[in-house]
Amino acid sequence: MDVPLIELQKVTKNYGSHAVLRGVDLRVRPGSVVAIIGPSGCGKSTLLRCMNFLERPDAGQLFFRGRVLGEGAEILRAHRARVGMVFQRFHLFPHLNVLDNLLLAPRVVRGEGREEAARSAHILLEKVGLSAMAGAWPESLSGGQQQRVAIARCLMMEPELLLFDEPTSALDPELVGEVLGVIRDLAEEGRSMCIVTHEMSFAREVASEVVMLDQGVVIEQGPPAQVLGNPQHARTRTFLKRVLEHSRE
Amino acid sequence: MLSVFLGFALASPCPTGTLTVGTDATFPPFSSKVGDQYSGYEIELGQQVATRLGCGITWVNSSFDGIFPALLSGKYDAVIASVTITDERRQSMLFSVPYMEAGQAIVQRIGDPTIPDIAGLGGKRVGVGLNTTGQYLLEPHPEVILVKYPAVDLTLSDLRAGRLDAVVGDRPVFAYMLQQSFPDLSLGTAALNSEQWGIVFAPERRDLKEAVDVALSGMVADGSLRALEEKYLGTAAATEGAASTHFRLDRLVVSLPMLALGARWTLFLSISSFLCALPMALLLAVARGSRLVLLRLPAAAWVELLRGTPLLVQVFFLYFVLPGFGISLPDATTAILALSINASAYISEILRAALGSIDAGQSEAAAALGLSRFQVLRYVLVPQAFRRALPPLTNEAIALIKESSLVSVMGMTELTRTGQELASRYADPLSIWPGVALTYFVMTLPLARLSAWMERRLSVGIRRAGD
Ligand SMILES: Nc1ncnc2c1ncn2[C@@H]1O[C@H](COP(=O)(O)OP(=O)(O)O)[C@@H](O)[C@H]1O
Ligand SMILES: [Mg+2]
Repeated sequence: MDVPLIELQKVTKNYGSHAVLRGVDLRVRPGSVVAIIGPSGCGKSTLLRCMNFLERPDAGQLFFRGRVLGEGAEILRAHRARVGMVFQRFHLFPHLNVLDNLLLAPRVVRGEGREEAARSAHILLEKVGLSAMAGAWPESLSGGQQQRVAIARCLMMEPELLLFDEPTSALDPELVGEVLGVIRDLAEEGRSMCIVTHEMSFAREVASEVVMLDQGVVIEQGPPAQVLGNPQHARTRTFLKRVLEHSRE
Repeated sequence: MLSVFLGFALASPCPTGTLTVGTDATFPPFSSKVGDQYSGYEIELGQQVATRLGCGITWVNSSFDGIFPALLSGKYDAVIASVTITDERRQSMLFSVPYMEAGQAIVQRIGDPTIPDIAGLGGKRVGVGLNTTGQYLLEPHPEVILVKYPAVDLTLSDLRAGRLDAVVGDRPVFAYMLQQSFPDLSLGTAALNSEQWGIVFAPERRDLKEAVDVALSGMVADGSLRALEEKYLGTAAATEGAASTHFRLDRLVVSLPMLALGARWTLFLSISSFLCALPMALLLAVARGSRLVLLRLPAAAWVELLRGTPLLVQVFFLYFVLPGFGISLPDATTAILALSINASAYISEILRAALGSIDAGQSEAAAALGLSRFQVLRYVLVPQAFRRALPPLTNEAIALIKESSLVSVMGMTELTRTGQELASRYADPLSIWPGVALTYFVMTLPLARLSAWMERRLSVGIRRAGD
């Protein structure tokens, strides 16, 4: 059995008296795609943010390639550079053009030269279908284009694990496809990822495993066909029914 | 080498055929300059002396501070710049025979019984400029009721209004003020003390000094010196309607070069202060946003202290109090320090607000890419904060230009101080202050337009980013 790329054991997180994560166990094996689903407010984003320490878990342990993650700013930064994150609202740097958005982290964090980094940047922009947009300003791009730039920006650091937090939720419906297409390509390359999503058909198609989170606990997990096609848990069924009704509207 | 030089020098006072003379052309009616054109009593005096020596003359304008070092280093043959002959100056330089009696004189209303001397001032209300020779001269006489004024032109207005019985001050300066704006006042002929102006030479130019002395004596003997004085200082020269009861464009025009000099200082002070304030403000803003109490509290206290005390008091503190602790800085440095420290408090609040207004997602996205806290600040937050802060920063720059007038209390000849000096010299606030106001306006208007333009542009950008 492979060593998991990342493994969470009994991770808990409270905001004041509000217990958001209540002992979550999760494994992402190398090359697998884990889709995290669950009703709004159940802690999906918090879980994802704990995986790259944007939030610090109150208890529990986190292993990366079998090694427990230590303390200290240095270790944290190294970890974050290995784990890429794509946000619901893109968060491109508005004061930098597309190319410089991509170049910032490699140059500043890894000290790469501009030329060298720009070469990889152009390859990645090509890959997300935006090679013509290198000089454009973020605010001049559509949401779908911005999210594809954000994905390319995150790929610049050659992350071993990609975290997507509802990457298409802020997009107009006609722009969702282009972003999902890019993510699908990445999955086909065999990249390891965690995706929080409400796009059930996409999850069914791309994910190797689906995790249903509810009120801060994993209530069900397994292959997509099982969790999405034949959910065991009543709350999973109600949740899926509601999502399905919503997407039919 | 020396003997060759002396040989030439003996042959003619101006071996090259031209005398190079330094002057401070900011002092009408003695020496002033509009464009390339020098004019005034001393300019004409120099010309006449040169003609008598068979030389041409070239004027070089210099600030009074630097004029003696330049003379001694050989840049000029002579200096004619209302220089009072003193024993101290005599030790390092040569003076011609005096060409102007510049002692203290008594001014009275025409028609009042003439007061001939200091004894006659007993029991009278006498106006003097604060810290002028006039004040020092009268202070040993307790029977004189001294009234001190921050600017000497005010003494003349009060004398005219009957609030004073007499005014004591520099004879040539007052002669000109009366001629220009106070035809109803008269200048006593008696000199209360002896002060004279002379032409100055480097010590090795005794030959030239002697030639000039001969020329000057000739001008005294044939009355041409007297005629010059009458021309520039006499009442006959008084222009029509000279009383300062209405705005005079001609006077404003003559003052413009000096106002421009003052404006240059004002710009220099405010731009330097702004540039010094920015990094200080940035440090303060970041410190105030820090998680460390040890950084946050002192920064907050510092900002509140600066915002809670008047700028004037801060200027006084640096200018008058620091030297008491053995720290004495050049005036310009003190001025820039005071202005920039004060501005840094306000700018840091602007930057703090701008930093606070940036979406938390920006730091998260940067942190998720592996940037350290400092790198996030340096590459992501600060550049965006500056962009957002541009309109308020521009307003702060405008405020700084205007507030820089406060350092005139330190004697910095920036625009406001220049205005004070000009208004006082011509005794004509009515024509000068509108010019000062206009000059400030010309400096701040482009910034104000820029700020308005940026605000419009930025609001468009924000709307677009928000939808
Ligand atoms: N920084 C925070 N401070 C306080 N409460 C928070 C914070 N972030 C999230 N929460 C709360 O934690 C719960 C889970 O949030 P989140 O992980 O964003 O849910 P999801 O992504 O599943 O919608 C919500 O009730 C939310 O209000
Ligand atoms: Mg969420």
